Amino acid sequence: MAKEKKLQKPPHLEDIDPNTSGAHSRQLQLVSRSTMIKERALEALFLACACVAVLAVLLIFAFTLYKALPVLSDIGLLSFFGMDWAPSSGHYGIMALLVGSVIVTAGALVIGVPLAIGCAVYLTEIANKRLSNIVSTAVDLLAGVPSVIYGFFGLVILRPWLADLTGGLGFGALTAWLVLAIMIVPTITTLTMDALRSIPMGVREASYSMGATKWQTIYKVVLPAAKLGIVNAVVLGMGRAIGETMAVLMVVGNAPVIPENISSPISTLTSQIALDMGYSSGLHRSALFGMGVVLFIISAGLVGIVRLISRPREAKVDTAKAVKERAEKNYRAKATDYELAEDVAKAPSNLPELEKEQEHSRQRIKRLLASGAKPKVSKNATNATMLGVFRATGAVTTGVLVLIILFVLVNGLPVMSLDFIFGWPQGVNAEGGIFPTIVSSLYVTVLAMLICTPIAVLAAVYLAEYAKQGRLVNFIRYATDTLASVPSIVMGLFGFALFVEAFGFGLSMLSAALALALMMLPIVMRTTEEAIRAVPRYIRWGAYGLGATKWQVVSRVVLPSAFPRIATGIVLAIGRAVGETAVVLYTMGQAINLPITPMDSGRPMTIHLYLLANDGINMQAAYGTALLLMLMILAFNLFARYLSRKSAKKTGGK
Amino acid sequence: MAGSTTVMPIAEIAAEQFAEHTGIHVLVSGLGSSAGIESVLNGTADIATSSRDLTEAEKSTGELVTTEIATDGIAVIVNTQNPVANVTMDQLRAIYAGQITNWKELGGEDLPILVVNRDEASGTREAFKTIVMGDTRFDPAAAVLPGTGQVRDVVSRTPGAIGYISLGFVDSAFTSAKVKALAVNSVEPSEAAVEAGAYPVSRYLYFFTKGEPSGTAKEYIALVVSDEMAQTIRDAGYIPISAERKGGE
Repeated sequence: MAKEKKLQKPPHLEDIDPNTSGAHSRQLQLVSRSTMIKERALEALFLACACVAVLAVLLIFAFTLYKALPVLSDIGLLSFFGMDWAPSSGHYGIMALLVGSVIVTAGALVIGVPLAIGCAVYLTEIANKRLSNIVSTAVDLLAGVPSVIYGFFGLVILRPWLADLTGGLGFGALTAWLVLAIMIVPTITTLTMDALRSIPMGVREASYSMGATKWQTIYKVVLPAAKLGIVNAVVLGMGRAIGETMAVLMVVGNAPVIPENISSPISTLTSQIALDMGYSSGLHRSALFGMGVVLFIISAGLVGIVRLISRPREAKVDTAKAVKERAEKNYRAKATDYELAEDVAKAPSNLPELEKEQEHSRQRIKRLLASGAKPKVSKNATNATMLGVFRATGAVTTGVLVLIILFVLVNGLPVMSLDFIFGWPQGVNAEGGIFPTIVSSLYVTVLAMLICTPIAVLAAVYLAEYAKQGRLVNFIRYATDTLASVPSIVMGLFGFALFVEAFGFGLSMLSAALALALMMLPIVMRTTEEAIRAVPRYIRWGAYGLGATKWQVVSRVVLPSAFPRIATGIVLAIGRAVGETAVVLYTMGQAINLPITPMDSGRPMTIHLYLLANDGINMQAAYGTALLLMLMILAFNLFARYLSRKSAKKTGGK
Repeated sequence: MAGSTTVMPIAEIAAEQFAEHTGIHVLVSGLGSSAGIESVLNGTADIATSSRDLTEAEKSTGELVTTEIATDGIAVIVNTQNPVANVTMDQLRAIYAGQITNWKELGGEDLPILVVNRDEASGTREAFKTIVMGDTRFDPAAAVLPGTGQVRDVVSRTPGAIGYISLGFVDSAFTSAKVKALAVNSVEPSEAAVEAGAYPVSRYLYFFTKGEPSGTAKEYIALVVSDEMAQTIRDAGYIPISAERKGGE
């Protein structure tokens, strides 16, 4: 997610892209007709790839809505938003579930947001660099831990603890709040840290030089300046919380009612879909798709909000507009300078925003100084207290995250053995090994990667090298963002309806891989686009100067030099896919089977863990599976970090 | 074959043994009893596994042939500290409908009853509903848990909780969590009581086929009801069909 934000390019950058200028089309006429046709055909192909994301989003919405029509026309919109959810007696009112989703999400934000922001402030502003590096790496890695593991932790550790505490069963909103808060903290922390880091050091220095304490600088200067970025982070965290399925499903208790209190069972849209999908039919199934539509609209709406927030706004004050124009002028001037070209490519792309913010905080400081407010408590005491609070949030966050890792490690290690990894499940309760589930997980992931990568890379090539800025590109970006935010259970529903049923692929590796590929597409597209844009312009100009065609430049120069960073994106997406549960739950089947052909069904590790944890009988195997799963994902993420470090060093060294 | 998650473990192991014997792979999917029956009717699957009998609508298709493969008693479980030892079917129904909400109404302590239900995909719930609830609706505010082990675990830790699980899972080799099974209508739940038909909360597990089973399906079903599978069925928490019943089928 951290990567995603950086990728958003303000329109002004595109204007100066030499490739989209008229000069280029004249240049094309110098080459032979067949070359020209080839170039045009390639461009069309890239555009088609870029449109896959748009098509996917439209298709998901249209198809899910289509499947929801029977229930809507049968019971009407009013009853669909009614209170009574009792499918076995023909009541399909989703209001209690919708309220459940809202309660669960709101509570998670109330707990998670202060922790995450506190932690981010601590890591960027207070902690020393070494500690900050270690902790933020850990936070990054934890953002990749699959939700089923968080759910497992909530079920086995938090639930009994809260049951003792409240005297109830331990299932309910409270448990879900804690689990979800833990899950969204890494996401919000990482994004907030990006926002804080993008604030120029000079702003802070100015504040200190006027005698402000660290706390005053953080509270009055840094946080206000980073406000937009932080709101962005919170909205994305909210999207994650409302779309979360597996972790919620495991701890809410699944009672489709408005809860009496925070420790009584509750249900949410996502968890109810996952719970009912397997056996539902007729109107009941249609109602689940209706819930999918509601979730889709919520998440697309949230994406819309994020885009509105992060778009450089038409300034209300004339001076701010002037500042922006000045910034753009400066920027153009810089961009034509060869020496600076590389810096420009690497520099944060939200430059005009920054300049604006800088002005803003300067004025703020001036105003504050002018008002001459005298604090009642000594500013040093406040400073010490507040820094302590930030340290505490940092410590709590880190502590909880370490606890989860220890939980999996301590319980899982005794189960580890070669027999466990390479053996087959035996008997009714899956004793023995989990080999087929490992193979299923890897099989489907590789297949999804093979489907996703060519499309995603070519689409990114189009967006970064060919596209003229305008409505189409904006629309493609919006669609890609929306696709990235589609709750995984909705993707699973869609995959089931389209690939399993309509295309007749059945519960198979292929169906699951197609659904997973759609999930991976935005991730790989964004990282690839970022990678391509990071390739210094003068390299391209050099190639053009030698008479290369556009495709030659892209294929021989740009893509090879962007390769390490593209690989990083792919590896990250693989990590996501291996840990995904809700998407594959109803597209792959659940039978333990060693898949050979893409049409075979199987049971991936995540589902194996989910089923074992739910059965609650053979917990040993559940711990072992959780550990192996987490190790695999950590390995992928560490590998991705290694790749991106390596490429950073390479470009840095030049 | 497709169907009940309750029968899935038996079906899977039988499938493994069947593959060893004959080299033919049988694919087992746990979708829930209803979905399994639908799959057989529309030809996606050859055998439906089910923990409930056919509904009138399903019977009326006239195409499905029934094979009983095991019996299953459903134990009503409470925390070991709970002094209540017996419930009647009526009390049980009232508890799950949300009408009786405190243990003192059953002669126990003054403690709210925390009702644990199963998910609707569960064959155990389906059977419990048919046998105990009839037309009465489950209390929607009850916790819905998707697994037998979870129900037992939760009940074993929570003094006021009540749940139901297959009789064979009341004592399990996998965990130290202890629960107490209540007598229903004063009949203690035991294998013998279930087989004798005395224990009221019990049911059969079935295979359904479209028409008389033939070919591979027939061989597979023969393996499942064979003595060879009896121990596996016991491991899975169920009671194999006794010899007399098999003869009568």
